[in-house]
Amino acid sequence: MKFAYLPIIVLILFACSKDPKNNIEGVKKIPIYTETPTLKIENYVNRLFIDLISREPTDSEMVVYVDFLRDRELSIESRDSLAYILQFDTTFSKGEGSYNEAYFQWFYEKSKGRFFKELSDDEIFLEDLNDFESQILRDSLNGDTAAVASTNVEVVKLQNVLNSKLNYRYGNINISEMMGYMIFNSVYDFVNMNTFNFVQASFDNLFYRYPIDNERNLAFQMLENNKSVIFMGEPGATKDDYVRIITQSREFYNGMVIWAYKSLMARDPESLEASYALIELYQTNDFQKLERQLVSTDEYAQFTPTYK
Amino acid sequence: MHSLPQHINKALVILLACTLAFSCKKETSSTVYELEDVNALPSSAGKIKQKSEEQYVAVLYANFFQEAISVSRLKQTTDAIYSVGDKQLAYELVVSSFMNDLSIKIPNDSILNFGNDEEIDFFLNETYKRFYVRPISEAERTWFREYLKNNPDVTVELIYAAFALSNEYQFY
Repeated sequence: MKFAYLPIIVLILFACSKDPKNNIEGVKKIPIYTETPTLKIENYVNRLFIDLISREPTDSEMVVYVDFLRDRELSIESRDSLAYILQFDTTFSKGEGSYNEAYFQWFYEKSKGRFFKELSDDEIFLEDLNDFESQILRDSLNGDTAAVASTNVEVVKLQNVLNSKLNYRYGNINISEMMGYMIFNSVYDFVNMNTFNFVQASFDNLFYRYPIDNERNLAFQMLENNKSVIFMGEPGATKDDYVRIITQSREFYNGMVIWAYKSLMARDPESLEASYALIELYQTNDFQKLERQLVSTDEYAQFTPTYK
Repeated sequence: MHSLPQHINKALVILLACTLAFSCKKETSSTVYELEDVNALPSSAGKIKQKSEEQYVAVLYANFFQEAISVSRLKQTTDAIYSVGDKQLAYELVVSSFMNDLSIKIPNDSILNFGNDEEIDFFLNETYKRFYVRPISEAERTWFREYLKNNPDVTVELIYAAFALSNEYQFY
């Protein structure tokens, strides 16, 4: 037992050693973009134009907006400002009217493309509209007022889609109303014929998932039998109710976030990104702000900052 | 030989243990510098989104005419694309139609001074920038120089059409 204390001394000496990893000097988080090559900035401006107003900038616009960003050291705020110009500037521009007009025209086309794919041409809506108007004339001549009233409802639904471009642009309707119009008309019903397909398609288009059995059954009862049910936590008994409930749910906004990420970043959002964006979009209904936030990121701009 | 007293023996053992513990310690640098990753990717790697028919037409129009296309002309042109089964053929027809428009803004063929490498380089740099919005790689430059030298009949119109119909131009 002479040396019994020796292991204790050794243990004391080697315990609680300072972790050398704590001394790592990490990269300082002050991004500097001034070394970004001009061609990269031009590439960014080009993509921004294509994504927001669906065309590339002219040579003179390219010079102006590259200088605009350079003068502001390519900061996140300057990118946001440039995106804001493309969304809301109403200065006259030959061919498209203004950036604001071009942006909302493209937004309208993108929205229709999301729901109608190849059948998104306005001509198709106008054809249906003409058919319904002829039907109204026939029914009114025959004195069938009930048929006139029901066909009139279909006319209004189609007009809602066609007018949504201007109404959304001027703030008369919000994003959920606009998307609601897209799935509540005869063309969408034609593309997704019968109740089962309508429910599947509306979930897929708006939420990027299919309904679970319970949701499908409740929606079916509501749409097919006009039965009063609690669907996604809300009471409803008609197709109007169904469209209102799904376009005002939180998951609708989650779908909008996914759509924005898919169309601008070409990927799905990560959980944290989706959750932040969802909270803001749900509270503000400002989809344009979400787009600006995405196109201002380094990931979208493909800028690699240096750190000071 | 007399043995040492017990307390001296203990003190020696402790001293020895301490010496062993603190001797030959591996020196650790207090600062470790990190390196940033550098990606080595082809110059077109950032182009991950395909242009839709509308986007393609609007982008091409702005490129050729240096102004925005009107909604009615855009609709007319995309309808023409949709009406042709072969999309590549439809794009060729659109490019050809734009090329025949007198208001198109493309350089004169005299820019292709085939004896002068500098002028060819200038033309290639500008063309890559105009269509692909990226610098030309050295491999591309070498290939194009040789091609232009060996094919003096090539015109700016043909080169622009080739760029407009290339796969890379379909992406952004």
